[in-house]
Amino acid sequence: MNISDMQFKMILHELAGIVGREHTLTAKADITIYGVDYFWLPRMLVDRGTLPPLPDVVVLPGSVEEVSEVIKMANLYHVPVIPWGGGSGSQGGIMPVYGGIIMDMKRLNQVIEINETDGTTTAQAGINGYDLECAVNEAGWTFPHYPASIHSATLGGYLACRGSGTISTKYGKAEDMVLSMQVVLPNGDIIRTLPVPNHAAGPGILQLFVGAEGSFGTITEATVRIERLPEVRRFRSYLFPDMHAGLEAGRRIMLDRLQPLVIRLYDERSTIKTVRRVLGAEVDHGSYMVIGFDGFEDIVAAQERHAFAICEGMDGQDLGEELGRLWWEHRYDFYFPPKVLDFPWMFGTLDTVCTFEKMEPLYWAKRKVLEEAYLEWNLFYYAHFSHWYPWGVMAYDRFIIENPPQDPDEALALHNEVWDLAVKINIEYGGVINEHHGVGLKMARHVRPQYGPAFQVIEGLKNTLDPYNIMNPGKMGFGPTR
Amino acid sequence: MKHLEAHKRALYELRFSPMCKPATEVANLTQLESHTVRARTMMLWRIAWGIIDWGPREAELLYESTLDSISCAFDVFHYPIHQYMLDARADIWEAGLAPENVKQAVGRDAASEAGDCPESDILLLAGEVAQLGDDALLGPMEAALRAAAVDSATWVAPTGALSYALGAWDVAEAQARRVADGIHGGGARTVIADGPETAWALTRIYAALGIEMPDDVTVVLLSEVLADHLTPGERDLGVVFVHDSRPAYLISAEEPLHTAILPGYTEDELTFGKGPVYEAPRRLLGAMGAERVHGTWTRALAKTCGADDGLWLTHPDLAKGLAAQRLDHAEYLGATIVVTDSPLAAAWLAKHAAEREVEVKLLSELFV
Repeated sequence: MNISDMQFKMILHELAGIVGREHTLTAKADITIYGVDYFWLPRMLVDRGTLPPLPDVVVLPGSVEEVSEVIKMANLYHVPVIPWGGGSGSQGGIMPVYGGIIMDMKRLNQVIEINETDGTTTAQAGINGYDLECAVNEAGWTFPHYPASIHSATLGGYLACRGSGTISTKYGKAEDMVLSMQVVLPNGDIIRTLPVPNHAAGPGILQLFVGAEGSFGTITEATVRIERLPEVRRFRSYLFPDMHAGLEAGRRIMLDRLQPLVIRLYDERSTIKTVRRVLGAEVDHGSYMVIGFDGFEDIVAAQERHAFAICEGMDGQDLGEELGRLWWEHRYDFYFPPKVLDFPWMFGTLDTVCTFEKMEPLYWAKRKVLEEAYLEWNLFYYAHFSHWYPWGVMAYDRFIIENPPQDPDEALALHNEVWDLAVKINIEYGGVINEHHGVGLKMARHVRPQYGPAFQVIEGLKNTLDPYNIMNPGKMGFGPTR
Repeated sequence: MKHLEAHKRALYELRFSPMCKPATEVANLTQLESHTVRARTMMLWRIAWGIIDWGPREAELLYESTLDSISCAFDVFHYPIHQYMLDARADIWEAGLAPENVKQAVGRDAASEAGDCPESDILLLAGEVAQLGDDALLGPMEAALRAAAVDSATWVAPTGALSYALGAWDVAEAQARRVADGIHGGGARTVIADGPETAWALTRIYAALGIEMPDDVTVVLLSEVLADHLTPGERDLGVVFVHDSRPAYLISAEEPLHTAILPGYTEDELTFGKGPVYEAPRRLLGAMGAERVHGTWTRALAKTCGADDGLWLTHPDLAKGLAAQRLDHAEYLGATIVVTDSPLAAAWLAKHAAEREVEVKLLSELFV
């Protein structure tokens, strides 16, 4: 914060008055962790013995009223406020690039209601994903949002970043599951969106806050859809001769509305590099697919019959249930140490989504252009396709540079160049800058080009809602706090 | 940092992983990010690799926690976080950097008296009772053993578990040596541990400290002895919630949550812990026809109530909060009675259940 020490102390005093002294943190040992999420950049800085930008102060409000008071105070002094969930974001969405207040939401962690008549649950935004899941499990339900970050992320984080889970192909992304939310606006007002998401009562404001990563307000409570725990949940794996055959099988399954729980198709490189390494599957060619269904046994059996016929019609080799089940049980292994990607490598998930017709041209263009452009760095590109829609599919594609520059500034420059090129191809080939990891700091500069003239809608809303730009500045295409 | 040095590689692997469950038991209470496993491993990695030094707040953060019995459950590769914590605490202690409250707790432990070990084939070693400094729960334990027709003598002696957990391995070693010598001198062939922490000392800590127990001595939990020798009749106990104390996790043959916890399942209770330390209380309660409840909220399993690892001595407010969390959870599940095989846990939980409807009992008390 660009203020005097005296003023900072006065602000601290006010903050402690709102949330309590024990919930106002300034010690370096406490605030260091708040500068690091799962984005490559802050981790790289820490890995190399430095630190990313840190907040000036961290507060943990215990009620929506306290959230409101903190934000009103920040408005008064034009101090940045960055809402914090579980710290598992991969885009630097929580990075306090202009310092200020990080507002850790985890004390707002109560399940308010499980409504078995409506199949919904209402919970505070700071609840841990797994805690929410266990709470609804105890009542015989599931919140079918199973991201790899479930043990870390919060409900508010799911929604603020438009997150996606393993079984989104059947149950949808976070934004599809939410019915309504309570939000604290950048001026401190507490509002509620309409009670239901589908209506003809105007344009709807619910989705303004979903995916806004705190820029338009702070999510404090949400009502989301829950589902009955399924009678059966079954998986099967297939090996296709190539990625094209696998994509075509997936497309047909989606267009036939067979409602798979999951389709995860690995390109030829991932099939060998990842599936073999992590699952120990003896595959040395082709494109590996896991497909699963859940629900009532007889319905699942019928869905499987049709889907498997499609797979076999595309020359998919049935590898049986065992490998499919193995994938399900080990699906998070890919994201846990020691198997997760780590330094000194440079890496990133360049995910995008587009219609079926555009996916293969996009994939091949990105792979060719990136590998040629960064030949000297031996950039390696690979992908899997893990979140499917009736109209298209998401590419979870990644790059790896095993020997990047060790100088942090050089490394960052190279990292940004790779992203710039990848995003350019995503947009040029009909994709978007991201499918489910969000924008954060990493993609902030790409939001304006992504939207083009339409960005004025976002900008106009931001200027109206947050005239001093206190909420999560430096992200979503916006600059510093004014 | 010689002890932490051994974990440099593991800490390096873990240092940024938010997937390794942010919550420790204390973090579940305070919700502070700096109390999470993620923060702790990043901090320990930076110290182990010489990036930062221990400062007063770092040392304090290390002790504002338990030995973390749950992080393994949320990490598919089961990194033993508790071991890194133990070794870091030993480094801190040896460097003289332990916070004052920790020094006081160790001083209290070091000053606690142990009489001579009685001569007996079967010895009830009351290490948890010694730590409590109150032998009110000894009576029910001895009575339960008599009801089980087990002829034993009792020795109230600090085992070293408390000081070991706080990093004071020099104090722990002296206490351990005294216990091992006492057992040897008293001729016991079977040592019955009064609770999981005593069993943890005898079966794990002494080996780590290089203290040899006599070869022909068998160590067994009191709950196991009772389960093997008692045939209790059916009783109306109410709705029972079994509290597995945190040290249970450290001595179990098959740790709770030995498979990684994944969403979308309802789990059988056995998934949350197999082996005598978990099964003996369940067997006894089953024989009594007790209606038991357990949560799928797995953070609550094998979770400290604040009485373990000396937290109740070093950070009583945090420990009180953990007890309240535990009791809240039991009440949420509909329990009317919380049963535990740990005297430390029983005493601490009972102290904080005074104003509640739910009752707390040491397992042995059910047979008196």
